This record gives sequence, C-alpha cells and structure tokens, in this order.
Amino acid sequence: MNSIGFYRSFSVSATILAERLSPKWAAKQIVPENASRSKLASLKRKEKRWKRQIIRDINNFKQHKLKNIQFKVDPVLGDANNGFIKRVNQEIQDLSNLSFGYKRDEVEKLLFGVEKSNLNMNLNSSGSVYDNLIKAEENKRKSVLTILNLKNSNNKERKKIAVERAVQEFARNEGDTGSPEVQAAVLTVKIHLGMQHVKQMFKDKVHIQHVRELVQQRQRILKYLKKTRPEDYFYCIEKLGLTDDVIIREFNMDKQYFQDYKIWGDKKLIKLSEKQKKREEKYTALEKKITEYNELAKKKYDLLS
Amino acid sequence: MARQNFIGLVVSQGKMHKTVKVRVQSKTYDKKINKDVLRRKDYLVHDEGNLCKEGDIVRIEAIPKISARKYFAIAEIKVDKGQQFALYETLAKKKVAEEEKSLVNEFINRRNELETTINKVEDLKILDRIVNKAKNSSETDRENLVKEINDIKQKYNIKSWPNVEPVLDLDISKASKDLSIIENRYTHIHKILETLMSPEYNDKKVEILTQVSKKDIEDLKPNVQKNLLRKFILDPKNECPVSL
Repeated sequence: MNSIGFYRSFSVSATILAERLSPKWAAKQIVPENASRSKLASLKRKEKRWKRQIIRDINNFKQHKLKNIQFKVDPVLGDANNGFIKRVNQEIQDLSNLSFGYKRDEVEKLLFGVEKSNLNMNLNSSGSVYDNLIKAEENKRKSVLTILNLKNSNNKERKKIAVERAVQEFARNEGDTGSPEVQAAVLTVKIHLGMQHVKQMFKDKVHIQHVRELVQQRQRILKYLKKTRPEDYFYCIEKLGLTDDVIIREFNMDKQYFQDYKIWGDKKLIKLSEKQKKREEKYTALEKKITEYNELAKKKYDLLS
Repeated sequence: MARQNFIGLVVSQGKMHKTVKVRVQSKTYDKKINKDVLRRKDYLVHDEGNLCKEGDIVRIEAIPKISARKYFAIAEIKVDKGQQFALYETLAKKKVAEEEKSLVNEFINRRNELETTINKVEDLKILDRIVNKAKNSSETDRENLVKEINDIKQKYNIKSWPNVEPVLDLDISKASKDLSIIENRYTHIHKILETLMSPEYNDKKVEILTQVSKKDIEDLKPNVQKNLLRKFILDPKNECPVSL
C-alpha cells in the first residue's frame, strides 16, 4: 500500500538527516586508548546526557522562534529598494513637472509664443527698444518658472503629482481610478509621504494616528483583492514592495513597531517588566549556547573523523 | 477494511519536515442544546515530498503510526489553492522585474524629449535675434549671419522665417487636430462602414473585430459588427482602415 511506502522512506531519510553534521556531535566524548570498562561506561553515560540536553535546548529555541516570527519586510514602508517608490520620488523631483498641473515643455512653448507675438507687435523697432523687449520677456520666463517650480510649492502639490503617477501605473485601463490596486497604490504613496513627516516630528501623535489608519485601510483593501483576484493581488503587492504575510497577519503601527524598525533611531520606547526582561535574557543565553554547541561539534567532528 | 478518511484544510506548512497541519471540520449533535455544532480538530499529517501549501484542501488517510502525533498521510490534493498562490507569486516577481526595465527606459526617454523641446525653443529664440541683427548690420557681417540662420533652418526643417505655419506642437493644437479627424470620419461614416462590410475588405474587418470584441466573430450579428466598427473608427488614435 501507499502508506507503508511512505513509512519506510521516511525512516530511511531520517537516518540520512542524522548523519549530517548536527550540533549533537558536540556530545561525542574522546575515549582514551587504555580506558577501563567502568571508565568507558561512564563516558557513554555522559555522552547520552549531553545529547539529551542539546536536543532539548535546540527544540526550545525552535519553539520560541516559531512563536515570534518576524515580518519579511517592513509592514508600513515595504521593501527598502522598491522600484515603484523610487519612481514616485523621482516624479516629485523631476524638472518636467510643475505645480498646478503644468508641464515644463508646454510652458516653455507658450512663453515662446508670447515673446513672438510681442515682438511681432513692435516689428520695426530696433536697437535699445528691441533689447529691452527681449530682456522683459526673459524676466517673465524666469519668474513664471520660479513660481511654478515644485521646490517652491507646498506638500499638497507634490502629493498630487505622486498620486497621479500611482494611478497611472496601476490602472487596469485608461481612466480607472477606483480599482483595489489603484486604491492600495495611492494609500502606499500617502503612507510614504506621511512617514517622512512622522520621522521628523515624533511628537505629532495625530499624524501618527492618521498614517496608522491608512496602513490598516491598505491591508483591508488588499485582503479583499486577494479574495477576488488572487493573480492581480500578488502582482500588486510585489510591485508595492510588500509581502503576503504583511497583509494577512495582524499588525498595528504601535511603539513596538517604531522601536523594532528604528524609525526614530535607537530610542527605547517600551519598558519591559522584570519578568519580560528575564525571559529575553533566557533566550539570548540559549541562542549563545546553541552557537557554542555548533562550534564544538565542528571541532569534535574534525578530531574524530 | 477501509481506511479512515477525512477532508480538511492545510493550515500550517513549512515548520516541520515532511509534515503539515490539517484542520478537519465535522458536525456533531450536541445533546445539551439540541443542535448540530461544528467541531474542529487539527491533525499532523505526513506529506512525503513537501507538496502541500497553506490553503490547499486535501483528503487524508489513516496509516500506521509514524510518530507520537502523526498517524495520517495526504492521499490527494483536492483544491490546490495554496500551490496556485505560490505559482502566482513567482510569476508576479518575473513580471515586475521585466516591467521595471521598460519603465526606466520610459523615464529616460521623457527626459530626453524635454531636453530636445527646450533646445528647440532656445534655438528659435536665437534665430529671431539673428534675423533682427542681420537687418541692421553691414554687408560683410550679413553673410556670416545668413549662414547661421540657414543652419538652424535646416536643423528643424523650416522653410521660411518668419513664417505663419506652426513650428511647435502644443497639447491644445493636438486636441483640435483630433477633433478635425473625428469630424471628417463622422461625415463619411456610412461610406466607410459600407466598404468595410463588403467582402473585399473582409480581412481588415476580421482583424479589427478580433481586437475589439470579446466574443467569437462568427457569433456577432452584422448590426453588432457595424457598431463595434463604428466605435473603432471614431477613435482618433486608431488609423482609418479605408482611405477617404
């Protein structure tokens, strides 16, 4: 039967696994050549005891790790070198975009038209009159371009351009502004712009709450997308630099998050109780112990084989 | 004797070697409340080959006990939702990586276009200034100036300066151009549709309809075909299949 086949192959593979260099090698005892029988027996007992201890430690640490699985990426900002966010930032800094929805090349062309028509009105002028006209037009061009420059505008204008880019990239077809992908992309843009403010102004609690709500809204929308169109969902989160576990698992943008992801540097934001501190110390000690086992195992493996 | 059989959902995978956790749901009658209640039980199930993924619906079958908690094995995968999700994830990664390249190119193209338009405007301004200078200069200087003027003219394919024809394309003029195209096609729409529906133009008709319609072309009635074609022709982005 099938199941018996399963059983046999399982037992074989288990033995193969045991033969790989495992930390259990740390328990091996070096037997002197002229050891007495009682000495041999005691060494054997010692080895057994060590082995049991090692297995117990490793399993305890494994259980602890399984309970405290970390997110694969930052659940708020996503992957650090994500292409989409880079493009949005580029769009904000790009010279071809001006505030109030103007484009640089269009403005240049229009200003040239204005200059041309002004010169045509004074066709027969020459010398200083002509030079003055040209100077005035040049001043006009400079002042218009400084007024419209994105560096001189407010955050709202910049946000508009970023959102426009997000909509353009994620729209299913031209004119689509409401599909879940687009909504999630727009929320991502808003979260990134909001987090820039949060990083600087850590006392602005209202703003933090606002960003927190945006993060949860994005999670909700992407969960819906996964239910209805799984293929589009995976494409969308990949493009936004997120992963599946970030969407599915419970997340709240709390002090723990700010501490873990070092949003405000190495600041300690959460004070642990005595009990929690002890627990943490216990597991750091356990981790250290396991690395020591591994080193010892390597040494003994080299010695004995 | 038949083996014990259950159908359940894979809730945890990848934590143990060749083992998944399967949740099985069953209905039992509760005597105290006189009602059917749903009960759940989680089994550790042997999965030789690590095939299952979280979210799969599987049938499990009893086997001789392998370990303390393992006495079931996966018999078949009924719905491979989890595996499909894993597939979608890998496909998405490829697709995004491909798109990234084209988007970078698009950005570079846009920047180059902006540079060329700004350069063109600057050159046209210089052209104006040289023309003005040439009017009031002596004859020896004039030859050099005329040469410069001709260079710029050649660069942008301008026949005469100052001229009346548009030299730069504006977004506003583009819209008016589109409108004139639509108006022209709209006046001749009956003629265009008639020629398209004739057997000589059958190939072109099929080509357009495959682009536009979601259904098979043979299922479409002639009036529906005509409507689709009309919509295609009145879009200024598309080329008119019949010469006017």
